[in-house]
Amino acid sequence: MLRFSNRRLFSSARVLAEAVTKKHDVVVIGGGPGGYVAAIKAAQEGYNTACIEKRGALGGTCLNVGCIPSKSLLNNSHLFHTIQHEAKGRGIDVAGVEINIGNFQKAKETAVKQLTGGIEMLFKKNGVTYYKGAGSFIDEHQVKVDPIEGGEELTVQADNIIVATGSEPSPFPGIEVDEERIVTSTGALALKEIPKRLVVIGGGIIGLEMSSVWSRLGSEVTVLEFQDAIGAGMDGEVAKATQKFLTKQGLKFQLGAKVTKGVREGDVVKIEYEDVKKGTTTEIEADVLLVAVGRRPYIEGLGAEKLGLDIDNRGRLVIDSEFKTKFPHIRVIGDVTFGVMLAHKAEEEGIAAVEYIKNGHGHVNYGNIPSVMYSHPEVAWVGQNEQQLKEAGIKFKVGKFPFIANSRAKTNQDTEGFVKFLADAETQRVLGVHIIGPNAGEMIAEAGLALEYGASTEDIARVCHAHPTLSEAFKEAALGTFGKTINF
Amino acid sequence: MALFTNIQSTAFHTSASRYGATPFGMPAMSPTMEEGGVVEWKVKEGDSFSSGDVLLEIETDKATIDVEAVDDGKLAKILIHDGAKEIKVGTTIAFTAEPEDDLATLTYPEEESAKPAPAAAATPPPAKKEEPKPAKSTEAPASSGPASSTSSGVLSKANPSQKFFPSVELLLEKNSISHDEALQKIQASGPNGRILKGDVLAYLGEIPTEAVTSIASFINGRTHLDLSNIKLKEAAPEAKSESPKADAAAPAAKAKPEPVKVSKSYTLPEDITIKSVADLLESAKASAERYAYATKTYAKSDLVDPIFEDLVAPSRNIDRFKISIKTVASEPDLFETPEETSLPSVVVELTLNEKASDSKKRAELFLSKFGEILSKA
Repeated sequence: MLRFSNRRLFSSARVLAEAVTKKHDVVVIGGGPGGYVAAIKAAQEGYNTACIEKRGALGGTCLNVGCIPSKSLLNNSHLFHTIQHEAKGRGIDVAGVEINIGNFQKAKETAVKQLTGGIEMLFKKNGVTYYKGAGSFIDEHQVKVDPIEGGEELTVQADNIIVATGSEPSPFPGIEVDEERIVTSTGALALKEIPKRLVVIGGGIIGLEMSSVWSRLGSEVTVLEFQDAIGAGMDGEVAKATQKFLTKQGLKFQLGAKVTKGVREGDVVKIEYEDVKKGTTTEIEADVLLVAVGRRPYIEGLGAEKLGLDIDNRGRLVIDSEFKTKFPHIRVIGDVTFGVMLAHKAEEEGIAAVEYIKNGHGHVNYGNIPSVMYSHPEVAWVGQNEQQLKEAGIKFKVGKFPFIANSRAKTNQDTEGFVKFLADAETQRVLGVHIIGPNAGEMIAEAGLALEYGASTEDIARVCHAHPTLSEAFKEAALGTFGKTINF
Repeated sequence: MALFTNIQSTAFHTSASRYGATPFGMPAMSPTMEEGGVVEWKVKEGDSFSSGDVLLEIETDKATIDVEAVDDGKLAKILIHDGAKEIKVGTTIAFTAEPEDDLATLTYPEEESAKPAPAAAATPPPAKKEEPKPAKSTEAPASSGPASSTSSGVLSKANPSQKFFPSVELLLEKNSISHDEALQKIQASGPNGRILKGDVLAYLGEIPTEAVTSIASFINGRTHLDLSNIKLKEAAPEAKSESPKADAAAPAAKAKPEPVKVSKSYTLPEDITIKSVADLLESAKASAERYAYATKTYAKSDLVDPIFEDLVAPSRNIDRFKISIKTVASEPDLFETPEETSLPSVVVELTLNEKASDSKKRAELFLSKFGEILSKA
């Protein structure tokens, strides 16, 4: 009896020792769009791969509190708005249209759940080990995993480590976020009731998408933007058009507004801003204040400083052109390092980082990363905008085609916006494409292909596009840079 | 700008080093810098340097700045010597080699060594004009380096296995040029040896070749992530919050190669002259140092016995930190509103002596006193 229990003691101790350290070829810290893609790719390349994620669900900000849930709210609020305001004009009489905010949010949650669960399936299929916990560096080859659902801490040892810890909403100095009345994008996606008055600080993509959602459901929305144009990074002409269309939908814009105060008093948020040009101060009230002033790299708990990884003055982990940190086997991709903070950019980098590990070379074309804003009309662009080309002293030609002259847009009764091509004046090589209009986000893919292959606008104009489709506007705009458009 | 890291040159090491010397371009110390002067080379021709060493001192219209090496290497050849002024950003000023390279047998890129200065001057205008933009600026030094300083950098032999673009096909037909002839004679500026419409137009003499190469190098310059002019975060606030954890972990973790550093930057008074800056910094350093070593670092409390503290404290004769003071011209930050003017600032970096337990406290005393003196000046 005694001997028996002794042996059990020994064997359980051995199991414990084995459980403590796990060895892998590649360990990815962070399961967002950059991290999970890198993990799957690494597994497909034959590496024994693990991914550490502490959120409890894969997919990162994008899937859980970013791109995906916002698209659910945007699409469904657009449908509601269309039925409410346009159905009649289309010959559909609908009575008693109402929003059920509970189900509205549920639809979003279902989509998110299915998609995050889908990634977990993909991990299983590709043989990626998934550690649900917070990863932190012990040294340059060992990462401690602190499980979120209880259980033993364990150490993961790896020859290659990819850091993909992403980003978080930037705080606004002096404004305290409670995710109830003063919210970031995360809170704005999960509001349980429709605020009467919504004030948004920041007229970038996140701010404008959230403004669109709640404005369609009935909120009175005011956007405060410090710059003198909305839509950070958009082509100037497109930004102006966007502002015009959104104003028509009922959004109020205050440009050149420097917010000086934002405090919650009971159920009301009091906001004070200064008109930068006039110097006047205005005070407004809101039921919900959304702070959407950008995002910042997230490395909390990673132990990057302790390990001695270089961090720049904006909090980004410093890398070289092969994503390598000062420890060549630790690579960093996505929002937590340099470049635009977009899910698809992180995905490309995830693939490239694994290719560097495998073959010593990888490819991301940073001059060809599209941006899309899913307002209505949608806004999408890729390549250079007019301001950038002027600044660089490039001679270019503009080709533009309005959707009002496109047959499909006309029949859809959805004609706001235009396609705009920027092409080199002499070679007609495509330099940038900017679209505001229905389905812009899907249409921009064709522009990306053109840029990647170095196509001239003539090459696009000579490709047959189906009739009647919105993409004919794309073709005609290309034609407009060197010849005359046919239908306008 | 606590530390200037010429990441771009590191990037070149990986690709070019195996074949010979790596051109070292005049670095851009700020997004707006277009040219600068070489004050002094700190490393001699033929000498080795290691990561972190100051390679040379350069001057801009704003300040004199140390350029530090990111990688280990050797300084193979200096092209632009001490005292040279108005050197365009990106101009090759020297060649570096890998630490193990033999300088006697090293090969140099021909066009670069032949005419270093014109190489940058001939850079197509777009590359230079990119400079003012903080976000994307930095391709300039890279692209004006070895790759695209001449047209041959962006033009390549046509890829024989391509399917021609419709525009190209049409132009060839119009001008009775056969496919084979096109593939042999027309230089391609597109990705992977692809002949573009512009390439054919240039071949036919309808547009200047320059039009093709300049737009191609503009586009190529934007395909890479901008990793130049990285400004590292100043470590002071982090060091404070992280220190208890770091200290606790220190014995357990393997010996860390990095010495602990504490740094802080200060803004100089507006109306100060260059001469008095040096004097002020010197006197501030001396009195801050006195203050840091003289002040008692333990708390006043009934539980603290001064005699015991003195006994266990490290000897007063041990240096607690090494001081390095650098003056840098501050540059506009994205987060700054335009009306905030940029003043020159001073960055003080203290490398802590980890053997003395009170190094950090005394370093912080030094930094606060130093700031106090500057603010009173």
